[in-house]
Amino acid sequence: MGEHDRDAIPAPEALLRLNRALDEQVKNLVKTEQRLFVSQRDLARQNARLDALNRFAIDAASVADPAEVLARAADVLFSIFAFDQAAGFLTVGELLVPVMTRAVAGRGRRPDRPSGDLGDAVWGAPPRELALGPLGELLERAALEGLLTCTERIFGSESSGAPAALAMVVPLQRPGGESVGVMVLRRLTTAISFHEELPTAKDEDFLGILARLVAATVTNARLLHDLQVSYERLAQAQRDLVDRERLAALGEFAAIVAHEVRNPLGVIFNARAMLRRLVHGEEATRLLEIVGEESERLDRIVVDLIDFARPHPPRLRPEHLVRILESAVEAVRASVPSVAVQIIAPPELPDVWADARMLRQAVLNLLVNATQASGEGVEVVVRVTMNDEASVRIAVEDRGLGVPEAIAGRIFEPFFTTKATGTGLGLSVVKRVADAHGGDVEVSSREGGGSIFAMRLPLGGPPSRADP
Amino acid sequence: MQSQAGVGRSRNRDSVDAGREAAREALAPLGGQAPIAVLVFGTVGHDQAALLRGVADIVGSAPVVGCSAEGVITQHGSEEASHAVAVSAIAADAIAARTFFSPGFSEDATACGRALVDQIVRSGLVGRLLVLFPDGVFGNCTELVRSIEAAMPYPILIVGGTAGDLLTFDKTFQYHGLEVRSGGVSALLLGGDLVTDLEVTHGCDLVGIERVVTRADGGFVREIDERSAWSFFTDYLADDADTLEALHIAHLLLAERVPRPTPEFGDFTVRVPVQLDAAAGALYFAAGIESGTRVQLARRNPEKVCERAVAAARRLSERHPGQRPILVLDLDCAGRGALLFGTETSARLCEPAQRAFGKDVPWIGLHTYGEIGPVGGRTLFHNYTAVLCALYDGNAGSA
Repeated sequence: MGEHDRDAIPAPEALLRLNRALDEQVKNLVKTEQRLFVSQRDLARQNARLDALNRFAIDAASVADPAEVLARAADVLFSIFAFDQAAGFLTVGELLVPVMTRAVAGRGRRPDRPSGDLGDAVWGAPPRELALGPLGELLERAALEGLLTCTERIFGSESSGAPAALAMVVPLQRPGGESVGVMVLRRLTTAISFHEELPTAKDEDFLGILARLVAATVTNARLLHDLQVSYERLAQAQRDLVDRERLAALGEFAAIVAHEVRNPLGVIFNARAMLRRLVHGEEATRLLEIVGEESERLDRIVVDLIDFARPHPPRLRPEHLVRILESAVEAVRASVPSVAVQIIAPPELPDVWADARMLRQAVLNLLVNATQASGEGVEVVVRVTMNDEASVRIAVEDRGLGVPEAIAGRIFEPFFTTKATGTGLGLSVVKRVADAHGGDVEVSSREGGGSIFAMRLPLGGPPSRADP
Repeated sequence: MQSQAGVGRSRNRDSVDAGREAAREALAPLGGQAPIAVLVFGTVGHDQAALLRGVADIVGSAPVVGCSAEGVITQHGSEEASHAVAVSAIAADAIAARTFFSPGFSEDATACGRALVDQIVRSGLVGRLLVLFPDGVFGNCTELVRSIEAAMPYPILIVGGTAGDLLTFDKTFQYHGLEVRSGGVSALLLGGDLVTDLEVTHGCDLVGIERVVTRADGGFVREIDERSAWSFFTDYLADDADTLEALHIAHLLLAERVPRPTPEFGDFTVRVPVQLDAAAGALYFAAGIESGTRVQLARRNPEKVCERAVAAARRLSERHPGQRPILVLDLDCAGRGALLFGTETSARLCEPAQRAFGKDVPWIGLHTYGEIGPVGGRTLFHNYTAVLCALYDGNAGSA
């Protein structure tokens, strides 16, 4: 078209043509912007999902409680999708056990309810496929009915409980297909704002990745928990080993001392016996008596040292406990005739698996301490009770000054004593005997003054005996 | 006692608790003074009746008025969520308030408007400001405003916003006391020692040439330039667009000349459909566009929306130097929220405008389906527009 032809076009028509051209451009621009808007919205949503996966992976990596892992997964889903509540189930054999509930503000009275009181587990194969839809429709699927009914029951028990309008079931499976658990998300209303989202078919990949990540994190949490328990056990074993080595060293030392003292002590006893025949006179006799008493005291100390130094494993057999106690009381009375001891025991007391000699020694030690603490003529009570069907408690109750709280934690340690003449071995022997029987010993204050030293012994003996 | 207002909001999803929380926060600044009126805007994820029960638990017998909203606006920003509520309590000795509900708006807007004026006249209060909350899905707002202005025995400033329902355009709700209604108009009349001032702005650009609505009836525009109204728009929409959401995403709208342009507002107002009759290719406009109306395609311009909104807030504030408003009422279109700004509505639109008054000024608003406010002295119905109305204490003096 030449210059002349263009000039011939009427101005209004030219304007209309120009307008149509501009209009076409506007149409293209608007369409491009629409696509851009949709693309940007999709991109923002993808970013939000990636960010959520990232946050979850970081936040939950060090969590050792599987229920807490599920709670954090619920928070991730709440941050993306407009769900109100979530319940988490863990696979235990053939069961799905509810362990966690979570809710956004205003959608649950107890959003962080602890595990353990969420009701019955669901029996049956866990669902394998992601499911989303109106609750009524999902309930019609046999594979989901039990799980969803259980979830409705859990949230229905809330004071604000209301049936879900929508539900989503997210199976948690490891890459091999092993079920770790299930999460159920609920929404109570169908109303949703323009920039709130519910999952669509496009989200299946994201939800699948999240589910596998949660499943792996739950598995890790269980391993982490087991590892923590193992570490605790190892630390306890190390503490026990150190104690045993310390006690072994003490025992070796005690054995040497006992050996080195016992021989000269025998010589002293023989010499004293000869002197009693050779020397007469009141003063000399009195001095020989002192030598005799102190030698016997030294001998008892040596016996204690030998007992402590050479422990032997208990030889357990069914024993009549009261007879052992009476024997111990008789032994005390032999050296302190005025001692007052009352044994109180239930009439139908079953036999106890025990090493009678060791147990007698332990009770004897407690009775000696108790009579010394109570003072002459004050009654000491030995009270036997059944703790339950599995153990018996032997309590020696005195009327002494009691055990100060500051030293209560140390009185069972070897060589710890507050007495001027004690070896500090009596109570450590008691503890050793209790330990050897699979029991324990503790001290407490007695109402009205005094102390109670109580041994708890399993009726069947230590676990090692009972275990196959 | 000084006139004052408090504003509270809640995102709690328990409707009763949400109502209580928002109302409690709204009452807190009043220092025990009983409110003369309580405004409530809530989104439709809430059980609407429960929401009002929660509010009433806290405000007692104070008159309650408001509507469902696409989102709420406070000093916390814009919150377009399934569960959001904003409450404002106004307390004043020298200001009087009355609340009304007029049914039948969706069927006969003119009769509804007249009935509302009857109630206003019977109330005995000579008001200075009438705030309307009409149904947002069906009803001719232009007729409503026209009939009210014609029937009112005295001139009065009329503002308003139509109720919303999270962009589903299905059913909206109007609040009056504990009542939750649909298809009507709830209204608040304020009188006494009250000074009101306002700004009305939009941020749209005209596109192409003027067109003519060649067939329209009952609020439906059926043809533009003798073409189906919907096909007029679909030319501009991406493939397969068959819902109004596509139109909203494309930011497309119709512009109509205003009778008395102003430099601040410009010479056209905006019309957006709220219903699509896809089979007939017809679009329903709450503006009640009639056959023969000259219209022009227009698009929202996000930068212009923000720029004009902030400028309007500054002008409004600067006209009352040294004065703190009792309350700022922000009636802002649903299309000026997440649809336009994504998650940045608060940062780009609300907060800059609020800074013109200060963070401590009680500010309540809602995202509406349509706005009512005067331009050049004539009360008009608009879309994609913001009506910012500041209430000042008349005893404190005014510009």
